[in-house]
Amino acid sequence: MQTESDLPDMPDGQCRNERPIMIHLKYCGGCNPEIDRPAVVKRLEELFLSNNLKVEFDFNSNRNTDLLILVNGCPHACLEKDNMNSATMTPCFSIQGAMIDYRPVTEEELPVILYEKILTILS
Amino acid sequence: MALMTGRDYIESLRELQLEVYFMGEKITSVVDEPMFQPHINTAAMTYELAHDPQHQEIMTATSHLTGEKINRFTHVHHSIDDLVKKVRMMRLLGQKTGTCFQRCVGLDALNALYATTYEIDEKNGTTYHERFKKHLRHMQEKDLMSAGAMTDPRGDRSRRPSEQKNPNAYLHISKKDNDGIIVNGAKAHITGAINSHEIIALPTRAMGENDSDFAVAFAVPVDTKGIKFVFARQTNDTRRLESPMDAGNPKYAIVGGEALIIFKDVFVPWERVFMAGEYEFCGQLVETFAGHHRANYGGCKVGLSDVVIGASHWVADAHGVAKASHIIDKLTEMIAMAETCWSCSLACSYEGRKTQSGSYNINPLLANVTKLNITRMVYEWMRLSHDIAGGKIITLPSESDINLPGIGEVITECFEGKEGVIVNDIFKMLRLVENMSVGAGLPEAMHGAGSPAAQKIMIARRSGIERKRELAETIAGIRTDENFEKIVGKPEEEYWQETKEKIKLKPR
Repeated sequence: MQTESDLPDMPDGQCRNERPIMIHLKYCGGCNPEIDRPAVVKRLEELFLSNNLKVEFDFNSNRNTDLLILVNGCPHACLEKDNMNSATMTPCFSIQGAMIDYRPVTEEELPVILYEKILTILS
Repeated sequence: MALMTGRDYIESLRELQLEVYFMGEKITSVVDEPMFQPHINTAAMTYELAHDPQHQEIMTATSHLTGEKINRFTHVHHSIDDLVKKVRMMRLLGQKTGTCFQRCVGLDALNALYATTYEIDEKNGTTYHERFKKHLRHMQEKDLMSAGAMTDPRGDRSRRPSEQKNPNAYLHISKKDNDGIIVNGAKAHITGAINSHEIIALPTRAMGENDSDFAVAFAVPVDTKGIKFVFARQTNDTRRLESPMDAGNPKYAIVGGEALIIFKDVFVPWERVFMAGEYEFCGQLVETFAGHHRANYGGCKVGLSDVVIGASHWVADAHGVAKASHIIDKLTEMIAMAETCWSCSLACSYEGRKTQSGSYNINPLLANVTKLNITRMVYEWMRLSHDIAGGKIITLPSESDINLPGIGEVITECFEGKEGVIVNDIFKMLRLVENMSVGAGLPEAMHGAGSPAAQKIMIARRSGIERKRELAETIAGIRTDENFEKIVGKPEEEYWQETKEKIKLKPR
């Protein structure tokens, strides 16, 4: 897995990582979401790019990825049932509607908190 | 670890020295008081069924604290399966008793405090959660029954607790010292209070900073010094002192046996205090408790509906009209409403979620919808039971007259049904319908777990109305419909321009 210590400081506009951070992204089915799920993901991607980090989202579970992010639209968090598998070594993050780690946050805070958590894992 | 039987539970109550008043008298023995015995029998069912191989799967659970088998009424839910089994247990007990079995209030209080104390500690660095876990373990190991005590008398409802002329309108902390707190005030309408082992007190509403003395949660044994109980009256309650048949449900009575609990300078040691001034968590605690409790009503009241629907069909059949189309139609209406409420209860459980503490909570929107439906539909299915059973449910002679030599035989002839049906059984069934549908059960369905206005507030708060507006805007063409544009393969504006052109060209 790529870690942040592998990532050099680069001049503005240049990416710090040659190989993009590969994120396996899973959306829940979206029957009655409390949050705008794609908007949260878009904002997360912007946060990576604004910090000169290349990131690639992958919806295909067959590829090797650095992270798994579960984007659940509500606190029921359907995705957690089958995806929070401790047997796999891939770090996993889960959004449960307007919550992360089962703590309520605003929709605006969600991508920021998630981004910080990912950086912590990468470092 | 002992799972008490029904008999064990009743005997365990003898050890408690409560100060209870009813009908102008101080009651010397709760267990031996005929007015209380049916309510005690009902609570005993929550113990007895835990030993029945037919029901153990839902009546017992595995403690997350000890790994031991416990009664589900002392369990903190740790999965969706737990939430679902809880409401299944409610329906089962409603079916077995035909009334309120009282023990769910304490269960919901335990669950609300488990989740909320964890979050108070997370924010404030306090130790309430560990204290609470010790208390929970005590409850589980002894298999005790808690009376969940939330509702304060509340005085002038337009004023906050700290603004009341009488401070005892809300239970509050009068004093704090190194050993614990002293509380004063009262809790009203408390189900199962006189036949519980413990009281678990919670605040009744969201509080502000000035109300911090009223932000108090704790557990005390029911016979703690300074606690008095005044048992409430119910419709036709003293019939049970006159005649089992006239009482309607002489074994288990009506609703839960509610009491006013008065706290006068009651000392609570710190190890039993789970909130003392954290006013900002009162709203959350109340909401969590109310959510769990409102979820139950689509279980227990539907269990009662199973009984009253069965009774209505029995009465119709006894009078030879079970196959009449209007009877079938009414019974079908009753069943459909009851199963609607059951669906709500299951849904709010299946849609539950994990909390920070690791315990599970129901879906609060759906739980409030469950209870709101109950406040309406119980009245409607009970109305239909009156329609089917007929006017006899309010005009039957007493059991004494039925048994009176010389007149009893005539009465019996008057109330005969179709051939082969025992007249005494008709009396019993009509009295059961009367008991369940005319008495205290109706307003209990309305106000227990909170009145309809409280449910509507929660439903409105959690409705996600902005998202619904966005959906409407997308369908109406006010907001971009990305899926539509993918389907038609072009921007919506371009698509409609082309469509308008086609419409113009089409010959009319």
